[in-house]
Amino acid sequence: MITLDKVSFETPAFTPELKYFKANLLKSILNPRFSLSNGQLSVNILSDISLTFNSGDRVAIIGPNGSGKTTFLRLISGILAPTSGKMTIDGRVFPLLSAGIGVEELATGYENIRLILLHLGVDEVDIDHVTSNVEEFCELGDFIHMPFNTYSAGMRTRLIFGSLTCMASDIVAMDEVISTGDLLFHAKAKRRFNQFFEKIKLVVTATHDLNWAQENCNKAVLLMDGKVVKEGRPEDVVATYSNYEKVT
Amino acid sequence: MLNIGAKVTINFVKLAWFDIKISYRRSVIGPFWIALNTMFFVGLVAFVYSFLFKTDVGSFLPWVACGFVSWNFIALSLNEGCFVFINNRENLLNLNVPFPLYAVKSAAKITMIVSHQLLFLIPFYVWKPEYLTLQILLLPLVLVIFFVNSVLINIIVGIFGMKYRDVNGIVSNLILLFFIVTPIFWPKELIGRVFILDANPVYHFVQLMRNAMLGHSQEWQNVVGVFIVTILLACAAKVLVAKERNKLTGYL
Repeated sequence: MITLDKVSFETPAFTPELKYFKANLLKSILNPRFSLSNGQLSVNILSDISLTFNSGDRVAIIGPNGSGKTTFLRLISGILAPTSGKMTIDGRVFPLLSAGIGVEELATGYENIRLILLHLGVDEVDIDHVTSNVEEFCELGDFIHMPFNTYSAGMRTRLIFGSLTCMASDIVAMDEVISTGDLLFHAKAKRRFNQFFEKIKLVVTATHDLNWAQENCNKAVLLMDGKVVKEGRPEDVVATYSNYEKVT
Repeated sequence: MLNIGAKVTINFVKLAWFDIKISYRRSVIGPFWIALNTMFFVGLVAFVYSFLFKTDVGSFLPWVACGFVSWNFIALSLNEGCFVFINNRENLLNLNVPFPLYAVKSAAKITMIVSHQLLFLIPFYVWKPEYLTLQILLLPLVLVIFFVNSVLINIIVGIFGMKYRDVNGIVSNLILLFFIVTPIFWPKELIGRVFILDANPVYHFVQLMRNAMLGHSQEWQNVVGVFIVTILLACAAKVLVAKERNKLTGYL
């Protein structure tokens, strides 16, 4: 359902020192992830990625910070387009990359559910039905009609988690901010998360939780410095990553 | 059946209305403050300027009021445009929504604000019914033209504003410049039809809306001027969107 053929992605870099040509030139020589073109410094975030994910796959993208995991998810979500290479996606991708989308502090919990759903592209006809589903899950009682700025951290998490996991889609690209955290230890949230997971044909998750990756995924990809170092069974990929961490 | 793109666009227009609603939360009259503020401001300006220009308030007030509302549409589009993408950084990086939609949302919000300002027309037509002619039927079409141009301005200024952080300062001065050279608070008869008016794109837009509101026939120069500007803005926006789409992460 997702095929990437030699996909690369680079983005321009802007910092105060980068307006100096010499500094840019030096950076591009010293670090292979930087390149210089027409005086503009660019960062090569992903290089030559060739992967295929099929329907039914549960894929974990692992790797150290800055390895390109989130950019990879943004690419397969269609938020970014590859700089070079070919990417084919069969199905609608739903990105679950941030827990802060659409939230408005002065709006009530009820309004915030609707705001999140509007941002996620839920149809007006479905919004009432989906909102009551989320409302039921959150169990916020009368607080659902109180402004969001009166909510405790736990209540906020419940509302956002409930809103984000009400969608059905062919493919989900998920960052660890949604997949891990204390919330999953809550039985009801865990059940909802599993139900959400089951409805989706293909799930691609970026995570630092190696145990979670081995327990919940059938495929893993190790990214390092924007390149695929290893792909295959989660146990093998995690072992390679663990060895790498021991060496460094 | 609407396709996904149309549904998402409608959702963004609804989000624009919610933005306005939330900014007036806990206010008794809510967004109607926009209409009241406009009436107070143009009333005050018309009174002072009619004294300065030695004209009758009754004939000068409609000119100022209609000019101010049309001008406000353009000034808001330029101002809001500078931050339209910067302020939506989180959403741009985490939602697979085409980034020009944030410009649509901003333009929809500006159109809704200006529509509230237009409420001053009701007491105005009661006071001066001679201004209420069939030309008013053109007002919805004029608002659509303004909305389209506001989207285009938001895209262009938004991309430059995201790329070069000095754009906001430049745009503020540009707004001031256009404000002074465009007959908004001064009667155009003061200088007659001169090159500086025809070469001023803002003048054509202001006159297009003003004529519809004041019951005057549209002048062909204004219609052609607006048409040319719209085409130029559309071409510039198309080129910029194609060129800069993939560089958003770097700019933000």
